[in-house]
Amino acid sequence: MNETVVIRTNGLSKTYEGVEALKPLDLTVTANSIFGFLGPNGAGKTTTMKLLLGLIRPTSGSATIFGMDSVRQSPDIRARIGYLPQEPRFYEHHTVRETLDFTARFFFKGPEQAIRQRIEEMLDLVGLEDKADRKVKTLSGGEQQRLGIAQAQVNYPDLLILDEPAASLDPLGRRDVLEVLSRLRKHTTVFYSTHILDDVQKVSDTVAILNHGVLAAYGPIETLLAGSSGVVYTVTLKGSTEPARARIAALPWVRDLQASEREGQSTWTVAVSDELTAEQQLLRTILVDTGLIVTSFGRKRYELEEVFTNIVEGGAHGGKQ
Amino acid sequence: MAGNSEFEIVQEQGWRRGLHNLMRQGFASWWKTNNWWVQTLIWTGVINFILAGMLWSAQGFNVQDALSFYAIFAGLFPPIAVIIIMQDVVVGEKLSGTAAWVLSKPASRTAFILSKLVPNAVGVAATMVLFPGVLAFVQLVFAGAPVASPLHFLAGLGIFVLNLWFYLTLTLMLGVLTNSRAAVIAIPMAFAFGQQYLLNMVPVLRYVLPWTLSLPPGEAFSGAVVPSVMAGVAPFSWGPVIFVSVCIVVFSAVSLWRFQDQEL
Repeated sequence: MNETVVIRTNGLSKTYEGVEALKPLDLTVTANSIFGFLGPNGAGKTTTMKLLLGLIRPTSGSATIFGMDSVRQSPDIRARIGYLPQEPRFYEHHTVRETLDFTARFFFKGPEQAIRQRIEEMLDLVGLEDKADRKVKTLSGGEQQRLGIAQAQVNYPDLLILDEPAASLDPLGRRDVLEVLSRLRKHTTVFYSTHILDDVQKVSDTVAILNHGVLAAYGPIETLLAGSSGVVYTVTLKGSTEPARARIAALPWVRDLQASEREGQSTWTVAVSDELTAEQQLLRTILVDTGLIVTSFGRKRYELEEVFTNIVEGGAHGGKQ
Repeated sequence: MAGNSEFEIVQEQGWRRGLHNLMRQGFASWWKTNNWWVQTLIWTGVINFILAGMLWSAQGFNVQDALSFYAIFAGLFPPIAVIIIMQDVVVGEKLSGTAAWVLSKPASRTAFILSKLVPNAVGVAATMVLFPGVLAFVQLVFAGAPVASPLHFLAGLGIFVLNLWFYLTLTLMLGVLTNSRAAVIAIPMAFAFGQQYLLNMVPVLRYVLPWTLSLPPGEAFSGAVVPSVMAGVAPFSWGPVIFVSVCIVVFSAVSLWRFQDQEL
């Protein structure tokens, strides 16, 4: 068993009454990573999570977690996991504290003092100390989400599976969740889905994008944000750009040059085939033309939203690792 | 697991995994909430109030019929309450997502179903049969009803319990087999009330159906199984007792078996 690989899926798929909710999926999630799992509604994210937890059975393929089979050894796996469902629902007659106590006792039988202390830590972690003795049914959606995050961590899991952890939270709540996720990285692997791309970009180190049940992109976030069209620079210039543009486009290591005009400035997107040469010569070659003023120059970095939108809408950007 | 060294880890394995915690929660939902005394109050009140009305104030009431009357009240109405209590137990948890949440923890599906079956079985037996039965026994004995002995009366209460468990396990099984709340409540209700029509159409079913545990099997007012047992008389047939006992086992087994593959 390779402990550095926490989750591995091999052709994992799920079909409901002839509809393929998840097409064969091959994923690897390594230890102590924060793995962002993205996709539009109905893409198959929740299905994947439920398959990993053994709540539903795969139609084909398999998954291992901590080297254990997700179907045959599900209870052993779940002993090391914390899970937050997409819309957390708890027993309404329980108080917040009783919910955490109920959860903790699936893992621990004592000592009582240590269990009580763990519950207090979790209440403090999610800011529900003052609502600890309130019935779950009286909590707002955001408070239930916080309780969901607390119960998922009550056993200090080796793997946290979070389905939309920031949903129903206000901006401050979202910020807190991201902080918690970042802090947990040292001890825990986090596999989470979200629609909030900004959050993913802030905390994730690996990202997978699922679309219509198909893994559309997958890899380290830096790779995805760099794009699949190779190294690209953006240059913003003032002045007469045509001669310089023709000169640059003719260079042997320039694959493509696209220009657009806006508010008296010209923006070039220059795709190059030789990164080192481009670093050394691109800006110098442009500046040979003394009539030009370069107002910005840099390597193009895609926003995750751009990558996501391109993939979901059928664009070519992004790619599997 | 980081930071868990100070804890005693739960060691349950296999089908018992999570059982202790789930049972604890199941019993708490009866005995640490208002549930137990509300049910006790309702059924002790309803059964004994009607019985008291018969025994102590009805003109010309034949005390020899008291056990049959008691059996009708105590055998006809509590099953309806059991169906209502149980109709949301599994299907509600499946639809709301609490079942998926609980089973994302290290708990077996067998433990989950047992935690729905056992605490509810004990809860309804105590609050709908045993507690009201104690007061009814006192009333019947004081009124001079033909109760053979406390043990015979207890045996009759045991048959009432089997009657309730029949509906309890039937409703539980339907909750496992379907996600339709309507089906889970309608089928047992239809069975509970439809038996009298079945008996009219196929009289031989009186040797099988739970209806005749507490209600007369024929034209005569007396003769149901429970009042006969309480009076120390051989019942017209043990068939209904055997039938509900077998059904309880079958319904429970089907619930446990089918829930293993349920997609949550």
